[in-house]
Amino acid sequence: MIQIENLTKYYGKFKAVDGLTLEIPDGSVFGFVGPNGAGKTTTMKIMAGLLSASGGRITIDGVDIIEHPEFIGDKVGYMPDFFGAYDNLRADEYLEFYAGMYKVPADEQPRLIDDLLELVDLTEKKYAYVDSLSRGMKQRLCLARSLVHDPALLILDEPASGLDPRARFEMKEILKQLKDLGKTVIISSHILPELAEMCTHVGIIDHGVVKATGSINEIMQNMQKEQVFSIKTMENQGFDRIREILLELPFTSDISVHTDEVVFSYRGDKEELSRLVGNIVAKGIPLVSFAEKQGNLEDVFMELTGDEENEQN
Amino acid sequence: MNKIKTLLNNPIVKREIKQTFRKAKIFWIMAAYLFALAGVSSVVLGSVGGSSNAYDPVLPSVMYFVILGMQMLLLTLIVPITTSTAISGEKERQTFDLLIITKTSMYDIIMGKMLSSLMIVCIMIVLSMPVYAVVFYYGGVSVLQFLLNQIYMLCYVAMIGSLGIVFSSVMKKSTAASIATIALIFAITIGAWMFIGMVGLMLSAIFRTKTLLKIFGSLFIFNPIVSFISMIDSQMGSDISWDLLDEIGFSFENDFIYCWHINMIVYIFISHLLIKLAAKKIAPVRKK
Repeated sequence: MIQIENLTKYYGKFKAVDGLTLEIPDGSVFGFVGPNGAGKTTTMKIMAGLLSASGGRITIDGVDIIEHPEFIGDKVGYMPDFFGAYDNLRADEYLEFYAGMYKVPADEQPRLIDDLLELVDLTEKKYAYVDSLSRGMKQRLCLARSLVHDPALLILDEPASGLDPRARFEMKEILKQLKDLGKTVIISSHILPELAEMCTHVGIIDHGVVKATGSINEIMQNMQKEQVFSIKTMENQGFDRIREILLELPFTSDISVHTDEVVFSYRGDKEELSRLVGNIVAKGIPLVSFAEKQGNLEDVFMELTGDEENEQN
Repeated sequence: MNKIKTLLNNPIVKREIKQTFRKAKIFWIMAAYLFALAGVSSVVLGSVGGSSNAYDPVLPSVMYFVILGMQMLLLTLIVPITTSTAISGEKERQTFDLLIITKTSMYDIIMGKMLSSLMIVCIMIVLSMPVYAVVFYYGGVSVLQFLLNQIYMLCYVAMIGSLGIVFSSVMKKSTAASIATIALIFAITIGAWMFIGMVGLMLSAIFRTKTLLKIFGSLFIFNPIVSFISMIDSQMGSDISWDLLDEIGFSFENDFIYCWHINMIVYIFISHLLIKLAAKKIAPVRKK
């Protein structure tokens, strides 16, 4: 379990992280979501040991890494959003260099390098020079580098940034493998649909403060005070009659007729819902689908991070 | 023994040597270095020998000291430029953060950078041996003297190299670090003469006391140019720096320890302090 308690960071007078508190379960893939300048990268850099905290604690496996930064090297693997590569160095030499920097014994390094290159699907590029690799390959190589010392926690700052769709797909597959290996992974990204797909838990942060955290289902349920339903009919018939039926009911609201569906919010119970469906069918309306609409992470993000921007405006 | 093994197995040293010798630039630098060394030696050989065919016993000594001086000058220019990009170059390439979050200590990172520069200098010293071989051919300089002189060079290079590393650690841009390093080296070599001499003379005139002159004057012996002259002079059986100190009332003259011997230890000590300072500067997380 990773616990962040009351984390604070000042840059001069500017408070970039403001009492941030989070719990990240072991073995989870935790999505760190927030607008630009929210404090995600600052928090990640503090966890990686690159920045000092102005206050608070970060506990990994019971060890406060702010008090004892010497443990970070063992426990944390970090991949920044922007990184350079060494020219005139091959992929295997690149990994060998970092294996040496992380004190991996020399006799274990050849096997480790082969395993890591296989994990990130770069075996065929073992002897290629790093500066000749594509952007996506460099990202994968950097991911392999962050695994060289077998850390329990991986912190990946925008790992899919600047990648084409195929490269993003490949990165996602690798992250799934890491999750299966039992690693705890913290990812920050702006590509919310992909995060929602990959992550087991999410933390939404804005202006250095956590706005919502938990599993994706928990966050969705907390945000959605009412259920939202979508009705579809054969050849989009009868939408006006459906609208009239819904307007007569006291527990429906926000009724909107679209090209291919009618959407409405519902506050009633299951019995009333069942009667509504029966009523629609009894009126001869050719019902094709009557389903609950799931909210998405983008909606949650916009709602949670929009209020303060509006206030500022 | 373990510490030496750790130093030689430093992954930064291995990586830097691999990268350096995969580029054409280093070979051009070495070629230019040898060309300058050999070129100056040829000019000296031609002018001191004159038109006479008779053997001139002064020739080998003069040639040796000119080559040594040229070597010192060239290393004074090359080494700071290489070391002053050591850390700032990593920051510019955006590889610095990934370096300092590893389990390797900041001291080992800095030492790795320092050692890889010193290794290049050692290679340059070896490359310059054929030029020195011309001197040995004429005689007058022993191999032991040559080896001691090269050890002095390494100590001096360690000091100026570590100055470059300190500036590289505190400055973000390599250009700024290079300029600052060269400016400081200029100040402590040529600049020190003027400053110490002027201040010493002024203060002793104002306060009408020779003590201040003695104190400021004694600082001269640590000046790299005075130290170099001391090294050359000692091979003739005297030491100009002891003569200078004698003039201002300090008497250290002896046949065993010369100024440049003391300076080798001073340079290594300064280098050690500067490396520790650089390691402190690059450490990422400090407790508030």
